[in-house]
Amino acid sequence: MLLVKEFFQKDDDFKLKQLANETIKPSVLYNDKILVKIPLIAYSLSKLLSKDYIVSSDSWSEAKKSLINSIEKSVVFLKKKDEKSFKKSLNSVSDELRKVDFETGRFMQSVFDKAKMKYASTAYYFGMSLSQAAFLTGADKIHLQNYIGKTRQHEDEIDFSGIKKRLYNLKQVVNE
Amino acid sequence: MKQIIIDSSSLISLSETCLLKILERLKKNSNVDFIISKSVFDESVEKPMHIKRFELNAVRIKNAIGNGWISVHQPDKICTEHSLELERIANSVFNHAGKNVTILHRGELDSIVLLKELNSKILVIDERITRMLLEEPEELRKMLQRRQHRKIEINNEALKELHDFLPEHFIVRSSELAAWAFDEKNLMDGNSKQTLEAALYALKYKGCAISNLEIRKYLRGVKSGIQTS
Repeated sequence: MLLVKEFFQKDDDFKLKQLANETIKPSVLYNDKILVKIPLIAYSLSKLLSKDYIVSSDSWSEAKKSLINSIEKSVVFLKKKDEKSFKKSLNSVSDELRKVDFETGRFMQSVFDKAKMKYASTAYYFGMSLSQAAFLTGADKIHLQNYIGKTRQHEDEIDFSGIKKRLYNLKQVVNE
Repeated sequence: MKQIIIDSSSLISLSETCLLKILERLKKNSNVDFIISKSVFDESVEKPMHIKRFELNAVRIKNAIGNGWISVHQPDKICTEHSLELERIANSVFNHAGKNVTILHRGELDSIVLLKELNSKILVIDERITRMLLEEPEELRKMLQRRQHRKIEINNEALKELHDFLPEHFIVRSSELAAWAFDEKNLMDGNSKQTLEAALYALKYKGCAISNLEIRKYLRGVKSGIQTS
């Protein structure tokens, strides 16, 4: 979170995105619901920074201060190793993000929800089931399933049975 | 009457592609019952009913249940105990450096438990990881290892426990239900090969774990021409 604060203060959306991509993997491998918030927050902040109509809006300056304030609190709890408060503070950061996005954003789907979708898809790529990936990131399962359907994740699928064989088995059982 | 268990992933694919009606047709003409667990009902109806974006889908599935195309199995105490046991077993099949690797959630496991509860032989599930765990655990291990860039090992005791837990079963996807409906001339009005192709790709794009290659390979073996119902 220290790096999140540093990159956000410097308006470095590229480094925030890089940080998000680096921190998602350990979050998934350790199945850590707290740790996973960091890439979600970092990615969301990078998206906000990348949108000119947001950073040039009248409310951005105040919004940015508010976000930094929330992030600073989480850093304090992290340093104190106060896990419960750290978790709560991360929720405050994501609430603040949603608020900023709602006030300034142009899409029905918030940047935070987009971040959840992106990284839930990454969790699925790393071998988590759909439900587990959705559970870890807080993404909606139906949305995630649709999202993954549009990716190439199933193209490396080698189905040893194939439709024909599975259909044969199905009919055999039904007609028993 | 044969009971076929459907997971939420397949229910979502069928509903999102407006193909739920094939369940009605298959049920009527093939004397089968389609069953879902309570948690699948909660996941595909109860929860999305309160999310505007997915409300229509939830309504479709709810109507399918109301019309008797799908039945909801209410869990009892034993069912819940089996779910917990299966969660423990399934998430201890793979490990890294002696620590269990969590891959499945209760959401997928309840459908598997129903296989055991109802002694059913068919599970319809579009979700890939669950399917691979049950059918090809070694392939799943290789995939986890390759993608996670760390050594993954199989706990053979846990794997044996998993196999002993379940009755003999076969896994199909919503794609096979569509192919079955096509063979029975029940896919859609105007049951043509193009209809089948369209249905398979629609299911794929809604998340059914099937590749382009697999669909093309299957369609090559399907006879052309319109087959009227």
